[in-house]
Amino acid sequence: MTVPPADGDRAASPAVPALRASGLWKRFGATVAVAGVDLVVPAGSFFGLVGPNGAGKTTTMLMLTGLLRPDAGTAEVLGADVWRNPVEAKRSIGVLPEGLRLFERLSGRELLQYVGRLHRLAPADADARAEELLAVLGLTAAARTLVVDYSTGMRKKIALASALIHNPRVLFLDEPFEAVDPVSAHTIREVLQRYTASGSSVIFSSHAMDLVERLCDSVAVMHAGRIVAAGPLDAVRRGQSLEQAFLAYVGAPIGGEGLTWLGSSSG
Amino acid sequence: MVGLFVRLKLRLLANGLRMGAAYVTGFVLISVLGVLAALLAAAALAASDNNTAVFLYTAIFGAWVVLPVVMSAADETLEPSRLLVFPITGREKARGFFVAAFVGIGPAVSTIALAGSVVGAGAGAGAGTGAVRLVAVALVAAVLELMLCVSASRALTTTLSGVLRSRRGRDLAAGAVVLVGLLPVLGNVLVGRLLKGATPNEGTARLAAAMRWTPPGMAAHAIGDAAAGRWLAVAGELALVAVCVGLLVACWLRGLGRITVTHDASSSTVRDGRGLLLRLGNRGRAGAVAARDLRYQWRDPRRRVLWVQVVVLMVFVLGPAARSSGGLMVAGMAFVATVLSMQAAQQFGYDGAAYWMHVSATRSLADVRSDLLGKAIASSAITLPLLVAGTVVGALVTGRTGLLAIAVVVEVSAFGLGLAASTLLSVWFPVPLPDSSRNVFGSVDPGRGCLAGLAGLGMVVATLATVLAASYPLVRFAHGALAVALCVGLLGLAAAAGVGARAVTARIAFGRLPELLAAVTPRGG
Repeated sequence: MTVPPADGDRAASPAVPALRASGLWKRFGATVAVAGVDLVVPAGSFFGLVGPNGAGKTTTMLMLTGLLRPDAGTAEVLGADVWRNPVEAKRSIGVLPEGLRLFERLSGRELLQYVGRLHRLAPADADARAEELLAVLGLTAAARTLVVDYSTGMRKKIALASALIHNPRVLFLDEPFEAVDPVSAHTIREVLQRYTASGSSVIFSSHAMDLVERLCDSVAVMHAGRIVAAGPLDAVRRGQSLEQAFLAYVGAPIGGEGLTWLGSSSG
Repeated sequence: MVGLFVRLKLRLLANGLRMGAAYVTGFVLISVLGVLAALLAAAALAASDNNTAVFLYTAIFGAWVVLPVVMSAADETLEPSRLLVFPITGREKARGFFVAAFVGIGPAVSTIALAGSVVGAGAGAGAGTGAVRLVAVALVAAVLELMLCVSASRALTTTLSGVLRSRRGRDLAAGAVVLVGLLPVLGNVLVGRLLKGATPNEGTARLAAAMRWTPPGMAAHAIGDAAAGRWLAVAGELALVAVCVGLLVACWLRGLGRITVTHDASSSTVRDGRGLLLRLGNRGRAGAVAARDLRYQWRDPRRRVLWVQVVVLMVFVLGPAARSSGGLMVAGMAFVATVLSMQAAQQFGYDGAAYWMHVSATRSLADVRSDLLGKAIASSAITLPLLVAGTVVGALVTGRTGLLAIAVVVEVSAFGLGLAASTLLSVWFPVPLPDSSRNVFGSVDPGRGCLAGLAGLGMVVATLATVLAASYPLVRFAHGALAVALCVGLLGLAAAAGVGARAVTARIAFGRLPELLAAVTPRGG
């Protein structure tokens, strides 16, 4: 895929981080989902956000991308405040949120063309980019099938294409590899690696530690609404595998008690 | 198992009740209606006026059948597909669903109303063993009527949902529209013939005499027959009603079973855009939104419901209105136009959880303004021509071409004003719609839905009052230049309201995009 040229003067200088979040808080009723997240992601990094279910990864991602208003704190993408300067910030942001709710009664092609137009690309440009994305992601054969009939892997791919069509500088992906078959995962990985090689940044959340280890140069470990470790991959894993380091950070309980009835040896 | 279903339903209702005072307000208001109907029934039966009872029973039945379809208010609290994995036999499930269907606001209000007829029957009978027997018959009739209402309503929405979701849904939907539309026409013609040359009193009697042969009418008439001591007739009528209930329940449960296990195959592969839709889609963000929304009106089974609603409303309201005075016809048009414009109140709800795609691509106020313009274009593009065409056809058929121009102006302005008001409502009261509903007439989140419904009702009344106040002089005495000026003024008012509503709505929406997204995202859907 040829990466379309950056629009004008927004090519980031290395000094400006891709993302700077400080003091992000979010409360849902009595539950504190995110309790003060500070995060700096250098431009050009492939950044992994890992954490157990319920750690607040999805909530954080939504607040970083302007889809959920934080109770407190700020988020800047390439120096532009997501909430105070959405014109600048949202141009740089591409999102693949969790849950993959798309306009399901459009075909894959129609969906990409539509998202391109929402971003106010010229129709001819939007359509050309849509065709290229469909081809690279192996969706051309399904271009006229409604998204509602897509498999999970196809949905992730079409959602990724939707996130890429306006050529954002920073890509936020919530669980992009969850429930994806190895072939689709390989395609997604290749597109992302090509994307970061051109100087753009990817921030993605995942449970798949080996994948994070293989792809990312920096990681942050999130637990109970806070970042408990962050930095270059080697600094975070401290000589262990990322999975071992992760389990140590979040204090995984040792199982073995209870459930005596479970299994075929019991009644 | 039945107890479990009922408790589950009660719990879900109670959780809805916790969501806000609006829900409670709505419940109180609708209960007042029920009490009024109960008083009417009691008074009528106490005075041995069986005709009123027949009307009342038929009206309650009619409300149960028509309201869920027109207002998209079918009870979707219990979703059968969620229960697929549990080891429940079909029999248990059927019994559970049937009993649980009687738990809810609609059944509660109907019960209040029907209780009035039992009390009235008792009061009319005086004392003695005859009275006991009469009350017993009234009680059975009331219970059967309630069962009839619930089962007919469920059977209709379930069957129609199945049709609209099927692979050939688009073709079949047209058939369903014609069918559902024809029934009232038929009724209209029959009523017309029945009332020919009758005084109001005779008319009432003749109408009641015909209605008593419908299932709800039979239930009501059984009470009258019991009062007159015709016990054989009572037994026959009640038995027939019971058979109807059985048939409807069977029909409902069969449809439910089929919907649960069949995939929504209403669409799969589509052609690439061509023609007008393609050109519209290339006209900036507003054009793209309009083209997408029009595709959705065609492809989304839930949006296809609109076609049924357009036809049912036109026939129901315009049919009788066309036979009455010209002024009534114009008022009927204004009413239909206003109700149809209300679809815009759901414009964010229709996007639902996918609305994030708009939010993440929205950088400035201009983007939201474009979205609203696109949606307004899509809302008007099909409904407005249909409305005007219906009016023209109606005027030609009835020969009332004199009022045609005025009627068109009034309905277009009513639609415009209604659209403006609905646009404001859409951002003031955003409501989520069920995500993957089995029932295309279903609604979710009764708390917020109730508040939005009340606001919508207020909006319809306000819009209608404005339009009718402005159109009254048009119909009554305006001629020549004055009439033209009034028409232009009315259209101008609608246009100004539209422009103003778009500006205000865009400003509000832009200020609270994430909150709007959260409000229209169905939870646990």
